[in-house]
Amino acid sequence: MSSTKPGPEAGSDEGGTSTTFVVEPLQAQRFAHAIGDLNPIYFDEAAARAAGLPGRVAPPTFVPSLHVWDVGSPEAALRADGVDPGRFPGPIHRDAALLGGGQELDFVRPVRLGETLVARPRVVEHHVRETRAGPLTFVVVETRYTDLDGEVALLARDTLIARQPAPSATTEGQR
Amino acid sequence: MSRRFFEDVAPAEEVTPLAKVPSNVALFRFSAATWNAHRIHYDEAYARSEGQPGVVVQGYLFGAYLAQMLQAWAGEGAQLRRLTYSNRRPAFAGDALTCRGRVSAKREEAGTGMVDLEVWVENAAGEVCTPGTATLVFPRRA
Repeated sequence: MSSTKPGPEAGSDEGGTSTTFVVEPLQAQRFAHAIGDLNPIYFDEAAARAAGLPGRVAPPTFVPSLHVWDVGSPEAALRADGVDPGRFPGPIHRDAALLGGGQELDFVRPVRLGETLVARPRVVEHHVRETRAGPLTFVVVETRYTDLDGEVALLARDTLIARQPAPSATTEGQR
Repeated sequence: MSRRFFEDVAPAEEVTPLAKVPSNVALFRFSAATWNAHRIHYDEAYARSEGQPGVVVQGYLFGAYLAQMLQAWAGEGAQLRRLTYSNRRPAFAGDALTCRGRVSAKREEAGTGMVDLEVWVENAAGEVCTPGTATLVFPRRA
């Protein structure tokens, strides 16, 4: 079960939203199959312990690759490009073309299958850069993942690149 | 899986490369497993309407491939501590991609053995799609 609630209620010091979610074993294992990484530490308890882990773990990038941490929006509420408007906080034009710019991931410790984490995303950077292809908006979202003891398990900084809808022909012609 | 120690890692050592050809099926399954309905990753007509020549490989998939390469090379007992990657050039379903890496530094921090690396994903033309960096913690010989 997961829920989205205001940060202060969930103990956030930043006033953003937080989502509490379970690292679903089956979903994490399907992710492993999707990327073609059949490392036994994702599937086999004994193999994980033999590798010095407390139990089966999720592939390192599984949690920070999740588009949403909860059930997400109904189809009718998705953007025209299929992206869930809840994916990134902050000011993104509804019709902007989106691309993932990359990530900075700090794996503080392995994430165990079945454990509960709290995700707290917040916009830490937002700027527009002029390029030959027109203005691009860069939004950096930092997400802190903590466990139920409040300890940080993972930090992720995602860069989202948004290309605004085409400007007028006049503006285009001046470039 | 094999086990490597900090002492076994050579300066400027090359990471065992990992070859990947992400198929349409792989992209679909990745989107499904991450609940990512972004149409550029499965709807070719839509991807073309955004000016892409085909279905676009998820940026997150590059990250997942790099993590897989690093863990397979480092062996059990080593821990991936940090991974950064920057998507500079898109890849498309069916592209032959190769993940590569090279040790850039070995250092000790509070008695633990840390290895820093340059990592990247390149396409069949040898162009870098995704440069990045990584840090792994290795076990030490007793």
